[in-house]
Amino acid sequence: MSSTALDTAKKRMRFLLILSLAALLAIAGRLFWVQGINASTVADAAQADRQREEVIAPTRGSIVDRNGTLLAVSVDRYDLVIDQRDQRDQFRRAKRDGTNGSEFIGWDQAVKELAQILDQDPAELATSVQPQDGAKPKGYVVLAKGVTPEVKNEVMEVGIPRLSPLLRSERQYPQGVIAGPLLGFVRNSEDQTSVVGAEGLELSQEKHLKGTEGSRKIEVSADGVRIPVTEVEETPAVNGQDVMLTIDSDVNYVAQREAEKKQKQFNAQWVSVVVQEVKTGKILAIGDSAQLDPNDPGATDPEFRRSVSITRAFEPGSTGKAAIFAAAIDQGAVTPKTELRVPNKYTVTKETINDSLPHDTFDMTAAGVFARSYNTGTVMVGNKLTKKQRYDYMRKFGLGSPIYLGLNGASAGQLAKPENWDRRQQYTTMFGQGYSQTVLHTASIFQTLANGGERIAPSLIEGYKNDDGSVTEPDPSKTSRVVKKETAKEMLKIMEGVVESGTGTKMKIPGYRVGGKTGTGQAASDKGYDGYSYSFAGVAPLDDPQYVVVATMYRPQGSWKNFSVADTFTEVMSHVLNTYNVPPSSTKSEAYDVFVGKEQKKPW
Amino acid sequence: MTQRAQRRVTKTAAMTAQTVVDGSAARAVRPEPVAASELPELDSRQRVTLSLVPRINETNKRSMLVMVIALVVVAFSVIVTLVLMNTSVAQRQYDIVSLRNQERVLSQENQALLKEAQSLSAPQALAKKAKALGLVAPGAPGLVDLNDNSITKSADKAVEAEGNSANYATLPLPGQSIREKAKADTKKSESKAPVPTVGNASKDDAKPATDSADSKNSTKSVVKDETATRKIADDGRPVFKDSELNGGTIPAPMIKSPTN
Repeated sequence: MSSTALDTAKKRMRFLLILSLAALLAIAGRLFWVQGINASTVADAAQADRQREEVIAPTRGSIVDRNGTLLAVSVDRYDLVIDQRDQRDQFRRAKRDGTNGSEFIGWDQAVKELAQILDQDPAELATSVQPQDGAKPKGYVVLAKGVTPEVKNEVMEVGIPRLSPLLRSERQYPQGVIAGPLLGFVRNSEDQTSVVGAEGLELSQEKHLKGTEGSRKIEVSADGVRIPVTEVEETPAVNGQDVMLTIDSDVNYVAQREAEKKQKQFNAQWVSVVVQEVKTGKILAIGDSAQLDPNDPGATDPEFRRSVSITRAFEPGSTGKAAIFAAAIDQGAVTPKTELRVPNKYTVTKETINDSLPHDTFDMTAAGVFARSYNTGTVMVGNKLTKKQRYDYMRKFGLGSPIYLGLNGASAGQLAKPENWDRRQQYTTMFGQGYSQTVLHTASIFQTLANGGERIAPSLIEGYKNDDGSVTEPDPSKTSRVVKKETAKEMLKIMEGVVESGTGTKMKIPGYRVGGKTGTGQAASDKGYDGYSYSFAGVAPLDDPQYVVVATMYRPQGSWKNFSVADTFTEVMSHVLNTYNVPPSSTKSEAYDVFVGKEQKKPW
Repeated sequence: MTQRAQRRVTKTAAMTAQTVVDGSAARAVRPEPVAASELPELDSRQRVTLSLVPRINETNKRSMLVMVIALVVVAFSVIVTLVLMNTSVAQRQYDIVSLRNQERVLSQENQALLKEAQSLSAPQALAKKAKALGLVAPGAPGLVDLNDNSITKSADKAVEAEGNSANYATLPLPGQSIREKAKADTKKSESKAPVPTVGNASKDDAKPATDSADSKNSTKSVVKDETATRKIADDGRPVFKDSELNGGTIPAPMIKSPTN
């Protein structure tokens, strides 16, 4: 070997050495970079790549009545979805008779079994399971919606490949139509995985019912399978609060049944029954004649998907006299024994007020005017107050402003300002015409009178039950004094007169002292007054008033002489009194005389 | 001085004479410092055997073997324990998953049963059952005054089933569609539309929808009958009943929410 060749070899070796060293240095540098300087970033990237975050859906709270009966509850349901693509003629599955081993079955057999489980027509089902007539197979065909877990399990046993169940939460109303318009209903959320409130309490209590989503972070391997030994970071979901209502579903059932019966009897537009607790203002029942099954709200006429007792304002008629009499007594303008000469027709400032039936001119007490519900006498009583005074009392009784129970669409009714009352309206407002209110307003007025003159705003929500079982109270109902205690006491006495010897003699309930006021109002439409509303608002037992029941029938058809909501009232009221073991009245009637003098039985 | 010089020489000689390597082990060649007074005989032939570790005798060898085996066993058991723990952790994870599934299944079952129980105990379902059993609504209860042991009011007799005004099975049961009822109602309202010729239609419509199954069947059969027996007039057009024509007017469209 010559020296030059040796030099070249040496040079090459040196070059290779340098190259290797450089490569080594690069690798070492990179290693240092990855492991030393940039370690956390890379680790994070790897972590992020492995990590999957799952949303844990909270369970929507239930709605229960005052006894804990479930009115609305969320349950797990499955949608069965099949992918029609890449299906073979036959498939293999575990034998269904419980023995070990597997078998091959064809589509005909599978569809037959599936149809039996799903209770569908096999021929129809076959069209969704497999593409028809060489059509392009679809990737997503829904075979059944909202099936129960048992059905889903059975379907999965059939073993059809690419048939998958999709879990979703479904809202159910186990009691069916009970309190339907109050509960409202739900709609699917935008992503179709859960439900949100669409109407009624479901809508207004959404923020309580909904709950808070939780999340679970897990690590998955490259094939998407969860790595079991990795840490799980879990924020549990907070389930929605259960909304506890003041409703008693049994009483509500009776109210609904009686309302429906009455509606059928006279083919009325609607009938509504409201039951309210006197001492607390809590609503015990709201029964509408039109039934809404929240499981299938579409089956009900849109007009009746909300309770008419809060959405429909109408001219109350004679039940409206209660507020005027209370105002007059409270102001000391009259006493129940104030004597009045009551004619059949009474003309004041050129407006003639008529009574519905012609009668002789009577010498009556103010209580008697109320009992016989004479408009003429009422105008005499009401005229002792100024327009402003009457208006103020009506407002204090809650008229003219909506009663918010947690139900949307609550009507305020119409109550014009006294300065805007026209010449006739200033008198008609005394006997319940010329302004409008809902059935709930009526109930609230009588609750006020029965509760010693103190109005407690009606409420429908008893409380919210948290996930841990504790109960959150809602904001307390507003209470306000409307009339003096003595006034309220007098009002109960003159209301007793209505049932004892006035227009409400059919409203008697054996064993209990009942007071109330009947009301026949003219119902207006575009064409003027062309219908009637019939109401009775009653309180029992009078020695210690517990419950108010208001029954209202709107626009009945047929012979008006039979129109009455008496049996509706007595049926519901006696049921309530029985249910809550209210002791029968032990005191004597305190009703006032209707007429001046000894003779009390005079023709109508 | 001479001694010292001599010593250095000896040392060098000793160093060179001594092998630095003993087998594969390197030896410490530096001799121990020795006090001058105790200088060994220079010409001594016998060499001092130097050793780093004490000579291994038989017993030491055996204990070493035991030690090694023990270490291997410990190492092995540690590995086995780790593997077992790992698998058991993994197994637990699978158990958790399957228990979760089980919990889901059970809660679903619970849901279904609860719902069924609630539906069966719904007031209208109970009322229907009561009616089927022949139960009727009670009359007014009797009252006894406990103060003077007198009967202040005697109880009313309940009205017999036929004459009882309280028809309990009117509301649709839970799970029962009210569409059937709605259909029947629209038929009724059609027949009662403000048309001069309404009288004839009300007869077949006035069937009370007492029993759900009955009403279902009857409405179905009525519909079928109508389609089957529709007469064809001379001019080839089918003959409609007045009620079906709604008095020649088309019902006005429904307002979705008439309130507020």
